[in-house]
Amino acid sequence: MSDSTHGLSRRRFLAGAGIVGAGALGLTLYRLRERAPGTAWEPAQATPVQPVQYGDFTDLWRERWTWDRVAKGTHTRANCIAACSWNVYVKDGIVWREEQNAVYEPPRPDVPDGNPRGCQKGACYSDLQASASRLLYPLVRVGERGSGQWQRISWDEALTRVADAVIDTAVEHGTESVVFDHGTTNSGYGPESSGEVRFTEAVQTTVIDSWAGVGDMPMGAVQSWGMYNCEGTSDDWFRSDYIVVWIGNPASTRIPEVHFMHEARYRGAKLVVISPDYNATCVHADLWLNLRPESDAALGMAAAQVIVEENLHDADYVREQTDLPFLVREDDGRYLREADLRPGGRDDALYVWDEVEQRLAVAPGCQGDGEGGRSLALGALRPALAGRYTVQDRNGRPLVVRPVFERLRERLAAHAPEKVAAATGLAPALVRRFARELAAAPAAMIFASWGACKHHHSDLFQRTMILLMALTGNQGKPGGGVRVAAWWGLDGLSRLTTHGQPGVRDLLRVLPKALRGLTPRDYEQLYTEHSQKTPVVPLMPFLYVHGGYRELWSRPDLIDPALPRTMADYMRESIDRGWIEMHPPEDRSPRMLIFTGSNPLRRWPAPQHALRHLWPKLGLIVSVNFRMSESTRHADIVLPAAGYYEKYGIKYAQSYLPYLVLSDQAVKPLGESKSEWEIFGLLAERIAQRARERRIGEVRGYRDRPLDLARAYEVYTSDGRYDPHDAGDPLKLIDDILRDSPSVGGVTAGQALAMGAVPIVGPARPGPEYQTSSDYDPQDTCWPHRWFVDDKVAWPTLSGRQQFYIDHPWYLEADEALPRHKDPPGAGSRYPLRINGGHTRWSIHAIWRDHELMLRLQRGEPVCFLNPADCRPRGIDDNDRVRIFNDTGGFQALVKVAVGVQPGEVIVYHAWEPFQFPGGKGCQEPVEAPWKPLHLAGGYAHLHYRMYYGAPSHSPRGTPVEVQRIGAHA
Amino acid sequence: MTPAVGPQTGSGARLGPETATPVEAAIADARARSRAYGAFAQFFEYPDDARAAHIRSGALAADLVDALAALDVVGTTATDIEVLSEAGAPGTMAIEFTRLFEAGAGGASLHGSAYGASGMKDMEEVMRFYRHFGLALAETPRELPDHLATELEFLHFLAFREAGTLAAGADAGPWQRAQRDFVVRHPGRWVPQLRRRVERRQPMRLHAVLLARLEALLAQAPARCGGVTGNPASPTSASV
Repeated sequence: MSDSTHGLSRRRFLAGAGIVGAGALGLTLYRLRERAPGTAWEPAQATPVQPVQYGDFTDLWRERWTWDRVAKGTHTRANCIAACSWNVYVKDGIVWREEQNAVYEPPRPDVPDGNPRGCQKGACYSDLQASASRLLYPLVRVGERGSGQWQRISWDEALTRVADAVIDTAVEHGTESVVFDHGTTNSGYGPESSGEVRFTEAVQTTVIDSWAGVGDMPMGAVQSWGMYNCEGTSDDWFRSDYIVVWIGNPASTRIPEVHFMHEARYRGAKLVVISPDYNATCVHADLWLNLRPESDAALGMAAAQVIVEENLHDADYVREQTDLPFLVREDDGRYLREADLRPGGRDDALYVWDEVEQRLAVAPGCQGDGEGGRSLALGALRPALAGRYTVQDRNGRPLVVRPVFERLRERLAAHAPEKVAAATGLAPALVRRFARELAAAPAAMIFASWGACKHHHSDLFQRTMILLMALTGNQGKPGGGVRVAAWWGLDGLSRLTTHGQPGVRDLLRVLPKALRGLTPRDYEQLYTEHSQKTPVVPLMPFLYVHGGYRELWSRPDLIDPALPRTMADYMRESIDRGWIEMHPPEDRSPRMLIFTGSNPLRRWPAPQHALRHLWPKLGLIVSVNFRMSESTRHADIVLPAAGYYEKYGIKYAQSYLPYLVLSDQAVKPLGESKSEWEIFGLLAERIAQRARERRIGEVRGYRDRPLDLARAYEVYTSDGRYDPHDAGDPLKLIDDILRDSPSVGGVTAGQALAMGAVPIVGPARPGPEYQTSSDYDPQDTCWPHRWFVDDKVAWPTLSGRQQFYIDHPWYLEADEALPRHKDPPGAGSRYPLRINGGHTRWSIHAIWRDHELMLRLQRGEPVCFLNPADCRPRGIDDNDRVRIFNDTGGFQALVKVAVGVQPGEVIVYHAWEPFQFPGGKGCQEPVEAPWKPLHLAGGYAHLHYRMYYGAPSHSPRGTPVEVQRIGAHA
Repeated sequence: MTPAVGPQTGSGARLGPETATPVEAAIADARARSRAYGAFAQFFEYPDDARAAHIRSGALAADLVDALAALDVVGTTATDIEVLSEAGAPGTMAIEFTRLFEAGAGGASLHGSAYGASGMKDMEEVMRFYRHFGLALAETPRELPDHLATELEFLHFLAFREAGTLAAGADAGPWQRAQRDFVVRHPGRWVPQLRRRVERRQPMRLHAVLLARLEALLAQAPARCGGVTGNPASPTSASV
């Protein structure tokens, strides 16, 4: 380590040692400097030129500060489901405070405005950015992994070590053995995320897709809609008449938005909360349905049964927008297909029975309708919802078919409120009241966001929620429908990647379709093709194959007993058929891991398995982070990332707010931290340099195709267009992004950064996850799915409809072709209690979780909430310390006795870092998170995997445990 | 360390009342404090190879112990020189420094804002102190103003100016009051907490002794800086 690395010159160092000549007392200033050299004080002069005035410390406070600068900032890589612009106050190169930048205009006079936006976490980010958990210097591990023994190294040495490790891995095993996990925290629309995207593309590392891996994949929406993005602006909630919060807690997790729900009540809307426990959102509810945990599908189906039985459903909407009129064969339970009726017939042409013409008709909008499956408009067609019909198959034999709706009626009958009362714990009269109110409301919505994705059978829950909205005609109406999440697109986001704009060949290939207008199915095909060009792998299968979780997830008690085959069977078939492509290939191992912001050892299920089985495979683990997370503690090299106010960025544009929020570089990065744009650029450069110096030829890249790592930097910089060495380079990228994005009205980077929040003024091209599926009107609130409901565009499903019948062979054998209630695998566990919970109010995942300002607002250390009925027999008092455990693992926490918790639940709000627990064992230790093998299914139109779509969802909720008192809190 | 300006103080030995005037004694006291703070500041810089070698040579320890002895800092003994020179094998001190004070989670931060109820407010006041006395943060290292080494450097500066002002026969009150207030409100408040946190992490003897001596020096500083007057009331100390 050279002195110059820390700016400590030899001369000043020796002067500080006192060798300055006889008779003089040395003044050594290293960290401080004179503000005006040569005037007030001279270092060599003992006596100040001018006398100083100082009475006591109050003198300091009389000197008013004027700010050097007020920048516009946000928290780009905090993965909070919001976007809030802040005024960031800078003095002497430090951010001292931030205030909400209240600039948002309501689109119409009859909805409240969205100001202010910004939660208590954002309001103290300046404190977090300056906290002790910051990483300021590159570090190399010198003890055992996790021992906390580190040594600073220079950036030069760190980059060379990492680059050589990448090259060594690539030479010996191929670049797919370098695994990159960017998690879901650390996503942005700007240079702060482009760095890692470009790096992974330049080096062709395996990229872990953690969307489903963190339990954020609404598989029920994927199964029903062929998409999951479903939301508009949050002010649209104000227009709802019946707001159902179902498995969610927006009072804690949608802090800038939830007021629209509360304000809607002033115009007569009702707020209904469906939750086992009385959570913060229940405080404002008009009706609280405290169902038993994981009985949500039972409740949904029961409500649907009431609606259908009492003829409260919107039959016209159902005929047009759903597959409920589609005909299903009685013999094998599959849709009737053209291939069934004539040789050479299409397998994706599906049928309805036309009541007008009394004959079969190919359903408009299904994938094989002969018109490209573009429109579901029925015209004169009137599909039957009832009846039993006999047709002739291709061999002349009779085939009996019925509409899905008939089958649904039968399924619903088994879920009548009385029949599921034991499962739900709800009085049938209450369920009927809920169903009738829902159906009668002019506009009813169901808020069911990421929390509704984290149970084993969450897909069934969501399918029933979507069914309710479809039966009542609410999906696609203002203030109506299931609402999950969506983002505004930016056409310029292609600049984040090295692929950039589509090439001529790409454009020519889609031109015929583009001339008619690309449909959501067409876009989905493009996204899928793009995904297939990269070594992306969903997290759960990766952990199953490479992470050491095979044995755990193959346990019979963690599998749905209704499945006729084992997890291994389903995984094998999925890989063999190419539905899930494993990276690195099964016959190789991951050898190196690079993660940014992701915190695998905090949030992966039972992370001790990863430490035991995956970590030893990894020759080098690199963390790029701004704080010392649990996972970073177990890394080998740490590359310090700049804080949010220390780099340029664009917050991912959550659709709640019709603005694009940007972050200026308010101050320079602390210590030697760097922006991710610069870090990954330098790393790509070093890899290229070392490849040349070491005379490394081509290595095996993606799918073992030859890859020249000596070109890594050229690829990263788009052949020299960008220069990560240039401090202004990120602005150039932002300029490129905005210039290519007409939806933000042609602002420049400078203008946008000065504004902080730039209005969305028009639509953007749909992206892999960025769509509301509605045209945008800046003079109105935005709600989702208008393309399908108003414009009759076909949904991107096999049927071209909201699809409630899935005749994939796996779903048929699991008896989930139609939604239904199923007990979770853990229902029969000998462990009597269940861990449930939600996102904490006091952090954004693990960021802020250990921050003192937030800890002071709660009990300050990990705590679980238990009902008194569960505490009494266990001898547990409030604030006792307990152990929460099962056969897989356990952790300790304090207890908060809470009557609002349903008996049987152990509520643990998420994201405590394991190092905050005694013994370093965090709350994921007992979480087996059994996931559904059905989510591996592919080869079925909208049931497929591609990056950020589909894949098995991490299901941590409902883990069976026991709780044992350890003692009183010391 | 070299003798001070003015009457020879030899190797920095304390001037007894029988040999020095009150002004000379005050100058010597200020000089000793300046030397002590300056030496402490160097100990709390990251011990790269060069700095660790300098510590290992014993020169820094000798300078510090000499100054502490001149100030009658409680606990100072001759063996402190040996302990404060125990830098270990090359790299050992750097690893230990990072383990104790850096790398976030579970460490004992060297930043004062980690120990008070007021966080950034404490840091802001530190910055106001620096500004008031004509100082700013250096371009490198780019660290926050409440780092212990920075705060000690500031005290080193204040005591240096105090000595010079006294030697010039001018009013050194502002320098003394500033030292008093700064110590009471900042490192004097949180260094004891730092020391307790470090103790729990089983530190090298060097750091244990260093922090003990620093705490003792800071404890006596208000009295040595003209006594405690006015209202230097410090923010509530957070429990460790």
